[in-house]
Amino acid sequence: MPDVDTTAIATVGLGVGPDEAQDAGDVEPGTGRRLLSVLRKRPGAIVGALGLTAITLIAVLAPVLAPYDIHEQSGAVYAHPSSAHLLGLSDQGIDVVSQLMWACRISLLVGFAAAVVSIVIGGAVGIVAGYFGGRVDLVLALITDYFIVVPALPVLIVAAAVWGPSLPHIIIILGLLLWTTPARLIRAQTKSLRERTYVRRARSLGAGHLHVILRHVVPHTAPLLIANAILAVSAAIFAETALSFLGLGDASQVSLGVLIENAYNHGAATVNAWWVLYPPGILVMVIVMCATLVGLAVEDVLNPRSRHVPVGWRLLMARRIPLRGEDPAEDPAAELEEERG
Amino acid sequence: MTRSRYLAQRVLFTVATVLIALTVNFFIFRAAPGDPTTALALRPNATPAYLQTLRHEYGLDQSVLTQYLKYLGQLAQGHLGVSTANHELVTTNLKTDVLNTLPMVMLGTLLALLAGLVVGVALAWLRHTRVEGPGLLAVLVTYAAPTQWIGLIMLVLFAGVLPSGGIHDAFLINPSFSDKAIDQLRHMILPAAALGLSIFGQYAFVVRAAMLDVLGEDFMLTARAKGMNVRRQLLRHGLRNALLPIASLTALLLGTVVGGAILVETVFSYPGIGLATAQAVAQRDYPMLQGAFLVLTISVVLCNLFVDVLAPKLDPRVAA
Amino acid sequence: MSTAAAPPVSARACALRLRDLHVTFNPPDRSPVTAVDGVDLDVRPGERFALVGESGCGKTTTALAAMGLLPHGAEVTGDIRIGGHAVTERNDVGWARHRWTDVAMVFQGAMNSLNPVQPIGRQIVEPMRIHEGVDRKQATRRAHELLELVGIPARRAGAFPHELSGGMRQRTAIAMALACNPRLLVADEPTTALDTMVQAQIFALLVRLTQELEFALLLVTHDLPAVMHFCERAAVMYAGRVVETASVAELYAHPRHPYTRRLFEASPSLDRTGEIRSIPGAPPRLDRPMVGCRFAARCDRAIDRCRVDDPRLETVGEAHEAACWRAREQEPSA
Repeated sequence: MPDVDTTAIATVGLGVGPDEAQDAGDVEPGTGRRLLSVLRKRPGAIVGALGLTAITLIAVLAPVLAPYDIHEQSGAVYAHPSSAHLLGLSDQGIDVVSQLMWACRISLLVGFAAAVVSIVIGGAVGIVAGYFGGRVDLVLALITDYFIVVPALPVLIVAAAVWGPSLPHIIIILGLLLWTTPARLIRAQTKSLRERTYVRRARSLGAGHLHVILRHVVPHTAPLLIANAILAVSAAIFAETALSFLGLGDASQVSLGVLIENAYNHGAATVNAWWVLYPPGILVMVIVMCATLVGLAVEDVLNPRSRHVPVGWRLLMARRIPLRGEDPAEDPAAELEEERG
Repeated sequence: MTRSRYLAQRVLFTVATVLIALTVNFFIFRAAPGDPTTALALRPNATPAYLQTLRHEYGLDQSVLTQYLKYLGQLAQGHLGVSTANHELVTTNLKTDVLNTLPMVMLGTLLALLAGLVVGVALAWLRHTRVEGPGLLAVLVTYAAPTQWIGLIMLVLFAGVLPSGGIHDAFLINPSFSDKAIDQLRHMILPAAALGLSIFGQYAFVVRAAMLDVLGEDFMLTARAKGMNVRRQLLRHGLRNALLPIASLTALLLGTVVGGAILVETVFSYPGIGLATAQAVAQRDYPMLQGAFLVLTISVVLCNLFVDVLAPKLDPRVAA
Repeated sequence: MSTAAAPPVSARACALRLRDLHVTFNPPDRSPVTAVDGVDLDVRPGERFALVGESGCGKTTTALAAMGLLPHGAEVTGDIRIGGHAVTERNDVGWARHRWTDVAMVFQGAMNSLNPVQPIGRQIVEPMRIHEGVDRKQATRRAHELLELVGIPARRAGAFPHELSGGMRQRTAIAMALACNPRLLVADEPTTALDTMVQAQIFALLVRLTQELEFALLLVTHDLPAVMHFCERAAVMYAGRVVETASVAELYAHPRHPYTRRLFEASPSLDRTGEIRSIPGAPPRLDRPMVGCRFAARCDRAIDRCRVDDPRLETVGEAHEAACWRAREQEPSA
């Protein structure tokens, strides 16, 4: 009697069909070589990686590279682009290029920090659930399910409104919403690793749980975590722009989201200042596109069986979507069901 | 698993999620650092006596458990409190907002879904052709653009052509029913289009992914062998089999639709539940924010239940 | 087992006639694979013909090519005639004229070849509606007849594939294949994943149907005993080539190609020598150019010529062809 859960129908990621997934499955372990082979096969991933690197470099080097101070007026309000100001000036007469560099810095900081938070939480939950299984696993799965169903932006709004909009708060809240997918992936990996003999052997030799996990599970899940982190960064940046737009960003920090909000609220549309209107949105778009290309390509190759739809990352949600033919034992609820007979 | 047992399981899951949502909704507003009454008072130098009255009025001088039970009891009677901004019942406010939002969001989602279906099926069919790369890139562009920014661009591009704010033209004199309907539709077009464009990308990816999966199945070869044309192969056999994953993922994506609606309504000043949420934040109108949050969460949860109930119709293997 | 040597038939009358069929796959980043390399095949009207060989020998590819069902990107050359008509327009539109009306197919693994979300009755009705334009009522009546014909009660027409057993599903697939009275039914490993009892039932059903409805059957299989029991003629394929064709009785009694002989020896219930011997070595890679006989490296009777000259099919007996330089020699005494 086939027991197909509503969600138990396979879904595939952005770039893989069954044929390619099979190829990917053949690739021998050895993460570095695998990552290289990904990049070689997918020009999109190379472009994405280069783009992300470039943007990150610019953001890191903003203090050095930015031609003007972003706290001081350096010309006329909404001055047109010129050789001195390649993208003109903002509503306060601030150089837009410099502003964009600094904004990238803040946005990337939010993105990376939120990704780290999500991975710390998701990793801890995933390892605990996958390694110990049983009831712990089930409870954690239920919590994960709630986080997946609940609409993310309202939660963010409420949390930011109640808790006060500051950068650390936003980072933590974003991380709290992003942890479900890393948790799920790491749980599956941990579970399969636990079954493998060498982990069992290590255990029988008297190695402690923590040692086993750190020694075997963490290195094996690291590549997947990286792939997820890249996607999480873009998701966090995306969500930060939404919060800033609603006035829930950190007022003291200029991020890409704040720039979009300024363009909307300070009449850039009225004076038709395209150099203020378009660049921040395009930058967010480029970052998200690059991250999506890289993250999905890496994930496809490392983990062809848990291909998931990138939508989950768009506004911070992804649901447990087991692949058809996936081991039903992966699902703690199904497991419990079986135990009951 | 029998069908009734399957349904019972889904309903149970929904009830559990709603309960969690109610609880979260209660506690998240009490997790605020400091005394919530300072926020409620809306003035910095309120007298202690006034704060005390407020505290009593909102029942904040009782224990958390009492408050929680009272909150549940009130919810059961359909009370969501009184808006501190306009002193109307939150339910009254929300009713208007939801009725404004629904047609706009449905129009936007429908457009996105239709476009997503067409583009997704086409991209799956055109796999490994020269159209695939540029097609995917185009979809990725819409997928990666921030919703509010899409709205902003549309505002700039169509400002003179279509009404860019509000829900109706206040200066229409004695409009006939059809004039009114056309006016409202015109006000709906930009926000719906912006919302549709911002969620179209993920629909297209979902459909493409589900279709790619189905196209690799043996029964697709059977369909081809039967000598039917490509359209019939793709729609009757391919898409029909992809409907379940598409439907479940579409339901899951409602969270992003809700998020998109908040942003789009803010951009276009469209007086729906999204704008109400944004304004409640700006005005620190917690009862209103709480009510809006609850309505949004529960509607997403219920839509998911709806798809779960629909699932056996879409694929008889579910709960067989 | 039929012993009647079929009379030679003209090209016009053949249910399926392949001449010099080549199929090449061009996988990206890999060298092209010529899976079928010059196959000639005649399936006569009403006969049960088997295509036998190890997996990977190109038999399924040949069968799929006969219906134009290979994936886009596979290069197919050679002459394909179905019921006497040459298929010249090799695209989906051109093939659509022949599919299901002239040639129908029963696929490997009935589990997945039926549409899981359509009731089986509807799946049988569908090709009739497409090709014959019969009204729904008539088509449904005929679908019920077909179901009864393959041994499924008509009342089960509303069932979904997952509600049926493996054997029932394969019967459904057969009923579906016969919906438009094809002249040729291609059955590709129709009994894999079924248990032995059910396998025999399905084969028996196919035999009965070919007799009652007078269509030709092209059975693609590696199941030699089934071929001996249920088919009249057979072609043995090796590494993309047909190496021997004859009636099954002749093949069994006088195999002329060493590979055919080894195949029989490797088959437990057909082996006469009493000892089961698997064939040492592996088939050659099809993505490289080959010199000489493709079987030479594994052949215990290979001579120098075999390693240099490529043997082609030649008549070696009455309605018996083989591609071996030593086919005309006396059989070695077993």
